[in-house]
Amino acid sequence: MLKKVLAVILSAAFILGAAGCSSSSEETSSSSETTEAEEKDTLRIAYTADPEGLDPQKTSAVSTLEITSNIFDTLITCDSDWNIIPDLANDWTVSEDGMSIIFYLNEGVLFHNGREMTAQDVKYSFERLVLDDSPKASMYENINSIVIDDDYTITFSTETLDVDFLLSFAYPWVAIIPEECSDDLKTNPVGTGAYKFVDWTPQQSVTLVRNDDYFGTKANIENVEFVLIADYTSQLAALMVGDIDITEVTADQIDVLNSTDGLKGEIMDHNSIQILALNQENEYLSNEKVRQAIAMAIDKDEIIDTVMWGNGTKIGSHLPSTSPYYVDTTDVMPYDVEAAKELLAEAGYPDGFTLSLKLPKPYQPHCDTGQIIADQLSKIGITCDIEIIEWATWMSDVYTDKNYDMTVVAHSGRLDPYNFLSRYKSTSGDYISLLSGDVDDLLDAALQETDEDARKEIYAEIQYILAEEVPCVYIQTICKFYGLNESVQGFKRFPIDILDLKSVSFS
Amino acid sequence: MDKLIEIENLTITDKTNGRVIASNISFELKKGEILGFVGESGSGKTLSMKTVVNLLPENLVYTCDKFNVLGADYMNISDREKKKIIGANIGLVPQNTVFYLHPMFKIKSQIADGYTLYNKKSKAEGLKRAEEKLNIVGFDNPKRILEMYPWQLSGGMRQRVNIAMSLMNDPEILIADEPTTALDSTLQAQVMELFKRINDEMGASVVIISHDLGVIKKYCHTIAVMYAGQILEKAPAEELFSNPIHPYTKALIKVIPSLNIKRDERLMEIPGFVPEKYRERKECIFKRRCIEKCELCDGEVTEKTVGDHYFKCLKYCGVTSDGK
Amino acid sequence: MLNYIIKRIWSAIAVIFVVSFITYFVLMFIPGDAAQLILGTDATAEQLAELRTAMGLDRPWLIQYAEWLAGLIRLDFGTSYLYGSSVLELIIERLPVTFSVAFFSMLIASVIAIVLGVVSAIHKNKFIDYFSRSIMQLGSALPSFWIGMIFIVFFGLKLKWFPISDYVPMSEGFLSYLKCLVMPCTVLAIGEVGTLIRAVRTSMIDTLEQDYMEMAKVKGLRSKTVYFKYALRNAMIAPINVFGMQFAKLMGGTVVIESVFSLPGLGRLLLVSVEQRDLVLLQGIVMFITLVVVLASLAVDIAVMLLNPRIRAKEGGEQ
Repeated sequence: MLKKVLAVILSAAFILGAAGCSSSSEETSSSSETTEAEEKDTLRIAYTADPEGLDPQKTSAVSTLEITSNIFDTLITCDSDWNIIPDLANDWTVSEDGMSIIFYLNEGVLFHNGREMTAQDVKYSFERLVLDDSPKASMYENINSIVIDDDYTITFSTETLDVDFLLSFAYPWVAIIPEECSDDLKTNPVGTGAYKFVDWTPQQSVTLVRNDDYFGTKANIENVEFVLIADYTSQLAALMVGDIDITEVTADQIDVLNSTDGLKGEIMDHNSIQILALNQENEYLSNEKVRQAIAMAIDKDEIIDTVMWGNGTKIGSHLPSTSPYYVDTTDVMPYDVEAAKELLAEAGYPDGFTLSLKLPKPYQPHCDTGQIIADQLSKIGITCDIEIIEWATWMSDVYTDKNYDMTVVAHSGRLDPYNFLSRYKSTSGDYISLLSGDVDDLLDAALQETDEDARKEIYAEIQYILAEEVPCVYIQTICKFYGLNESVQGFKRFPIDILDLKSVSFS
Repeated sequence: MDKLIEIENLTITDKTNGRVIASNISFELKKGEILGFVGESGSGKTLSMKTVVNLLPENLVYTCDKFNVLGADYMNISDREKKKIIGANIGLVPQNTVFYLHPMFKIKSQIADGYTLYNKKSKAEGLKRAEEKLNIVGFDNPKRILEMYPWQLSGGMRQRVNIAMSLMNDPEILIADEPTTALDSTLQAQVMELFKRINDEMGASVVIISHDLGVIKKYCHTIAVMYAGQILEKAPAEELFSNPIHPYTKALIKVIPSLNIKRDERLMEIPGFVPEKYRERKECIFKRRCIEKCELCDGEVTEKTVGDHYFKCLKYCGVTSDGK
Repeated sequence: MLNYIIKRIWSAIAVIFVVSFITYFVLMFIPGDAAQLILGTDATAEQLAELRTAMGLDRPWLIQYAEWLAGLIRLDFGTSYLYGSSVLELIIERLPVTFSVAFFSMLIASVIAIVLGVVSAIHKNKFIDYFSRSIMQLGSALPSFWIGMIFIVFFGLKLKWFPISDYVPMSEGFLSYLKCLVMPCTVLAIGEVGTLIRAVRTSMIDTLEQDYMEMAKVKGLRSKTVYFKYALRNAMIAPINVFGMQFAKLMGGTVVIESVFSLPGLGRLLLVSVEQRDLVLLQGIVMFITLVVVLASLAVDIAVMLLNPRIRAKEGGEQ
């Protein structure tokens, strides 16, 4: 009896489903026809990591900041060519001694709740930025005073000279927020940006709608939807069916995408570098010759060709090739297996030894690179014990406890070289700080040097020292690969973790 | 129709290993007759009757010259047709009382379903009839019994329920497989009286399978003696007991405690075991245990029927004037 | 009967308590720090310490556990570090998704399993039996994500019958709701069906050998009655255990299917909470899963009792 009932329910469900299928497959085909004919009004972007709350001041996750950068604005921002351009502030003046900056704010800028933004809001935002639970608080501890000159003028002063102080205002976490909304910001973000927040369904999607009262050039596309698709294959499938317009892909898929109708693949240089970090406190790695030997045993071209399909630029030191301060140090430690073997023997280890290589599971390119490195090092007698570990474990074991021998990881997203390189101060306690201390004074000097050319020289010297002393082997400037619907125009990457969607349009 | 069952030369073999379970079985069941099959365990009596109700296990097959049940030729009809005949007209009272009733259903849910199916009756009518039948088998309060689960009843009660269930369709044939084995002697008598009554009052023919010759003697009209898959002797009950011919029958009769024991006399045994290996050969199957074995007994066994009395014995077939 | 249920509830509470204790204990000692993961690679050591204090992470774990337990009694599961919302809310949001997936998968798998299992048992060692046993093997052997991918490529991309990565709640349209579920539930069902067929088949074979089945045949009952009334009643008892536990397992969320089909269910939430060491959220989900398993086990036992009056009498008799 029960079975009969079940059978009826099931057959009914499937018949309805099948009927629904046939009618809506007409729907989908007709809708894709109409979307070609009409204006597409929604941009759908796929991503893999759910945001941890939409409060830009309380998160360090890149994927979250990419979303919030459309809801919030900062005082200044940067374009895809690393130039600083105005945003909420239309002008600024840096003082003679470099210790303070005056910002002149745009008038008539409205928050999404209708209230006008003033200097008061800017001050509030910065005070909130240095609270305990704010990941980037330490970057702004140097600020010792914020003075509101009038509703649209505000002055920041620092304790010590920081020549790159201005740049720190461009990052997406320095968002200007309204005080009255600050408690719910995680789930209900309110900013001044080109898009307004509509909805966040955790682990499903974030929806934004165009802000028609935006103070600057309004966005082209009316709606934006960030869709969470956890699996790379599913993302690609969604792109191919037209469910998604933009998604990140892997290097091997670019050719396929370019040869598919309606889709295209794009390769973009990213402001990020991939490194093989070496723990200088390890008994073998404390010997500089050993580290140099390792550097020379690694064929960076092979890695770039195999993992990134030839997309990526070799580097020799801890700055990406896209940075204005970049100096090419790749011939300091060229690829030379014989020389590497000699160095290793000189260091006293002609027969090699074993080291552990910890690789972060969520980042497939680093894991792949790690495998290749293990293979390359075996040629000079160094055996690598590969451990693929969870990100949380990596953060606590490798990054905090410095419990590692070697690891492959990437660092990214800074406009000024100091932020990239400050880790190397021997006093920083960082997992890759240069214990010899050879760059300490240079770093301090660079921070104070107001002359642009002189600064470039200091950073060049630092890069050479890093290349020679090899606290890490510097592999490549990473590229990012995107699959896009053919009609998407104007999609660009930026040197900082933002995704500026207002200039994206459908052709 | 006078002959309800007519079987000639039935042979049952196990197709997986070729073993012969029963051979050359022939008998008739007349209307109104109570037929008894008696024999030791392994003599093939239950399996032979299972052919009538089409319950032979999968690994067994049978051949025969004639197999008519209630006018239908079993060799030429489908299983479905057999099922209809059996369901409507034949009742089975199984040996084991416990497991033949479904433990998860109350009596009322399982007793009447055969009846309602074959007679196109409603559930209520089925239950009413069930109460009648339960009355017949001796329950004073049939309604109470209907509401019970099989495991709430005693062995004797279950047996009577089985009988009631088999009577639901007023069957022409009732087959009772060791109906008294699991019961004590008072109950045994009760149950056998019941069968007699059913035969008298309802006119049903009854087949009783038993290894207890004492029980069979009192209640059966005709008795067939089986040994090692063959019928060795068959005769009306009185005739069999007053004039047993086959040595095996004689030995069996001697063994019945109630009939023969004088004080201090040892219970007689029939030495040896029922053979498996020699069943397919045409020689006398009882040869090795027979105390009356003679020089005539080697060679193909012969059978003879004198009036109502059938027997299969080389020695006695050779006697020109046998005792009648 | 009531006594029996009360006894079971007490033992359920004990189970939940023990499981929560063990989970907390284990999580405290594996590497990884929620505060660290929130702050990322730019925080200073002092900042980290301050945040840990603010989150209460620097207290001895027994105290943290006691506090969590106290909250639990008030039915307050705490607030997730990651999402900032109440853990209970987060779980409840995902419940309909996970429940829908679990329910329809079990439905599909059960129907197939019962039909194939019964038929194979009745026609043991004939063609249909071999056929179902092959399905059993294949279903269990093929990895579900692989099957899922094939489905996506074939039914989603090529034929465009079903959406690839979407979940539409029932309130927004029953048909679209069903369409989103067809692929993931079918894939899951394929994985489950092996175990279920085996359970049904074995139990059915056992049942068919029972004496009362002979009696049913002698009574001349129709095959339908014989198999569905007499056999199934007994044959379903053992499989119900299996069905119940499988359902409970699916209610815990299936990470692989949820990832491949982008369904916002409990499985992914669980995974994320582990990856980010969000202890509070993780504990909440673990508690929920434990509760589901306990309830499922109770439901199964009650179902068996309903089916088998003998057990009912035994339990009910203990006054």
